[in-house]
Parts: sequence; C-alpha cells; structure tokens
Amino acid sequence: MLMSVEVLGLSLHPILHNISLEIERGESIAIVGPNGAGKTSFLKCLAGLQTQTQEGLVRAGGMDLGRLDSRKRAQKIAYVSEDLALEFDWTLEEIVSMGRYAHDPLWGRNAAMNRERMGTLIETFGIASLRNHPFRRLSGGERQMGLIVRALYQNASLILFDETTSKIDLERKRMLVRWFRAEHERKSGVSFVWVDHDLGFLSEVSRRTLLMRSGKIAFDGPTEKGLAKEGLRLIYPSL
Amino acid sequence: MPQQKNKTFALLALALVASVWMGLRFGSVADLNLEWILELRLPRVVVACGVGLGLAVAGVVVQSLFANPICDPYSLGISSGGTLGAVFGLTMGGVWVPSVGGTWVWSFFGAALFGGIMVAVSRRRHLQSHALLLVGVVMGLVGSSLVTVWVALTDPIGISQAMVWLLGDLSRLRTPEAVFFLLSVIAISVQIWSQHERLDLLLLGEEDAQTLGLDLVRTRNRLLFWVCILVGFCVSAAGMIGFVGLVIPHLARRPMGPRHKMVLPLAAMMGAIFMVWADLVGRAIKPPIEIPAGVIAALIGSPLFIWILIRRGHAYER
Repeated sequence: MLMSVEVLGLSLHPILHNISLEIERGESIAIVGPNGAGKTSFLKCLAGLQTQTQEGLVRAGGMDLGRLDSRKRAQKIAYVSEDLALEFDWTLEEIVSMGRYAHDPLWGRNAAMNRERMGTLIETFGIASLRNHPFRRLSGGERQMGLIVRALYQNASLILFDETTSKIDLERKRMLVRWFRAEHERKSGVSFVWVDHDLGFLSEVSRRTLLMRSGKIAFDGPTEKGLAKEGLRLIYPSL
Repeated sequence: MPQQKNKTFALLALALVASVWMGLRFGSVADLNLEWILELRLPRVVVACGVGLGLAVAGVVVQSLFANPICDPYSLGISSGGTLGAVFGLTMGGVWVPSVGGTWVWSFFGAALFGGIMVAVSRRRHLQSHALLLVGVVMGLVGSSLVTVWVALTDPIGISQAMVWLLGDLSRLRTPEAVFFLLSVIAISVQIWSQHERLDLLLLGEEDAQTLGLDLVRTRNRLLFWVCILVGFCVSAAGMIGFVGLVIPHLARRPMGPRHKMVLPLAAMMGAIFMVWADLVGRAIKPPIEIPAGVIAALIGSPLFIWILIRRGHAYER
C-alpha cells in the first residue's frame, strides 16, 4: 500500500537536530550536503537501521514505524547503500531475489511467480547478461545497478538511495534518469529520496531538494532553487 | 541444475554409507566378530557421524551469523565453555573420572553459560558482528585457560587422560548413548535448517539483512542458542574437535553456492563422512595405538584451511 511518510522532530544526538518534514506519495526528493552533515544518519533513521536511541517519530501512512516489526517496515521502506561488500558467492539474480523476503518465502512457489517481474526489471536496467555472475566480482557500477533493481523489486512505498549511483557510468545514469522520470509520469505513487553528490543527476530525477548542514535542514524547496548557486551557498558558504 | 543437485546428494549419501561400512569393517584389530563390531565400532562410528554433522552445521551457522567465512564454532568461545563445563563435572570428585552420564549436563551448562554471556553482551551493547567475534575469541581463551588450571589443580595425575579427551576422543559412548546423541544432533540441525532463509539474509551482512526485513536481534539470538546446544552436545560426546566447522562449510558451498537450503544438508553429510574417516585413519595408522580423531581432523583440516585462505586471496584479485 503506497503512502506518505511524516518525520516529526527527529533528533539523533549529536548528529541530527529536530528534523520535521513530510514526504508525499510519489515524490522524488534530493538531499545534498557536505560530508558529515547527517544525510546518511537521516536515511538510516527513516529506514529503522539506526542502533542509537533517536528522538521523534517517523510515521508511514499514519503508523509509527518504530512499532512495526522488521518485515512490515521493509514492506514500506527500502534502503539502498552505496555498495554491498560480500564474502560469499551469491549471483546477481540471487541478490535481487532477496528483495522479496519481506513479502514472500524466498525460494518457494511464489518466488517462481515473482521471477517474471524480477526478470523484467533486470532486463529493463540492462544487467540481464550479468544475472548469473557472482555479485562480488562485478564492477562497482554493476553492483550498484543490481542494488537499485533489488530495491525496486522490494516493492516498498519509499525507497532511500544513499549515494547508490556514485560508481555508475554516464550511459547507465542516463538510463536511470529516463526510467525514474517515466515512473514519475506514470504516477506509480512510489516515493524516492536520493542522497548524492552528482547535482546534474539529482536535478534530473528530483523535483524537491533538501539541503542539509550540521544535522539540520537549511533549505527545503524546489530543486531548481535548491541546486542553484544561491541555494548551495547555504551549505557551502565558500562557493 | 536440479538434476545436478540430486546427483550430488545421491553421491554423498552413497559415500556416507560406504564410509560407515568402512568404519565398521576396518580398525586396529582385524577379523573382529559381529558382536564386538556392534559393541566397539558401531558406537564410535555413530558418534563420528553425529560430531561431524553437528560441528559442520554449527560452522555453517556461525559463518552466516558473522557473515565471515573464516569463523567456526570455536571462535565464539562456546566450545571452550562446553569443555570447561565437562571438565568441571568430570573432576567434581577431585579425581579425573572419564564417565559419561554427568558430562552431557555439565557440558551443556558450560556452553550455555558462555553462549548466554555472548547473547547478553550483544543485547546490552548492540554489538556489531566483528565486536561480538572479538568477545568470543577472548572468552575462548579464558575458557581454555580455565580448563588447564582446573584440571591441574584438581587432578594433576589425571591430566593426561583429560588431554586425550580434549584432543577429540570418539570412544567414550556406548551404543544407546551414541544413538541418542546422533538423534539429538539431527533434531537440532533440522530446527536450524528451518531458518535457512534467515541464514541466507545474514550472509549479506547485518545492515543489508535488516533492510530486507530480517529481525536481526531475535534471529541472531535464536541461532546462537541452537549453536550453543549443538556444540555443547558435540563437546560432551567427543571433546574438542576443530577444523570441521571451519573447513566443511566451504567445501559444501563449492558445488551449490551459498544457499542454506542446500548447504546445510550437504555440510551435514560431508561433516559426518569427514569424521568417520578421521576416526578410521586414527585407528589404522599404527594399531593398536589409536590417534584421537581430533588430531587427524586437525592434520587434514589445517592444509585445507590454508588452501581456502589462498583461494580467497585469488578471489579478491581483480
């Protein structure tokens, strides 16, 4: 079920300070800020991955995410990190398959039924030829493509990308831009949050931008204003 | 692919049957009659199967819990706890008496105590895997030192007998106890197998597993609990046997990849075969002297472990 997400007075001592915002259904938001601004911590709080005690509330569709069990939370929010360091030889297809854990038994009959959707996603993102390759031996960009596909396969209402495109080449990034724009126009209702340093990419995939500095939101508004020079000076004063 | 898997399982099942037959047929004494075979060799073959199976399954679980292929049950310190408990129980009378009855309980309590401390520490501090592993290593060292100190203080003369047992001795159980032991280990392993999807996710690392919906703390504690029982059983039956839990999981992943639905039964069969042969070789090298199966396991396991490390090195070269 697709829904909006509310963040009310979120604090994580000493990294985040009293952050409140609402992520509307179907929104695509860019988060930009200098290193150490608290971007990753913020995403991890949203995803329920923060082990430190946090203050404030994160609600999805009116429900307190902190009270949901891990499986139900994963049905609502997906988090994609920059990379996945593996010690074992999972194939790309197996890694993507695990995106369904929150919904179905991984390797049972339902998995076979879902495989068609997974196959479509893998082909759409141009990694079909890599599906049986060991994930850890792929290039960084190929691994990131695999993680993006897995997050989409997880079928969550809100997907958080934490510098997940940092190693992806230009051609594949163009493909991502086309796909996410089409997704927005389709009004699928899935929301995306992008933490990234590639401002060109962010300006293409997001309509709203949050600028973060020292654990606070310095700007929350349209991307064309946030990523303009005047906006960026709020977080990079020397610009 | 499914045919290939069936073929691998069928071949291993055949190898297991053949190994058990060899274990019963050959030993330090030739032409043993059936009665003596059932009396002397059957229990140790059954114990070998149980210990190999149990330690291999425990090894698979521990490597998944820490998403680290060079962990084994001993890294957690649980086996040292089990050994400490067993030694404590065996020397309660002030003299080293290698009896069986009390060892089960004492070893289980020792393993559970050390495992319980691990679980408590991880719950209280929300430790990441590497920190938990370090706690396990330290507890293992403490446990081993306490075993030596305890045996030396309580029964200095009996220390040699204690050492034989600590090196991995499969000859201590009679048939009914051995069968009970094997059935218990199989039952616990089936319980662990029912968690195979959770184990798959754990191999991705803690954060990624949580992202996908795994209840990390509950899963980790539950699996640690079963590993404690499994290792406690194995230690009480045969003392300290290393390398099975380290090496066998790697061998089991080679033909079928890391998916636990397949790896666990495969590792169980491979572990059983490995220990039956370790015992057989120990009996056959220079009869009537018997070299403890734990020593043979270490002699075979060490080069295999080095080979795995070298292979891992190659895997990282890109």
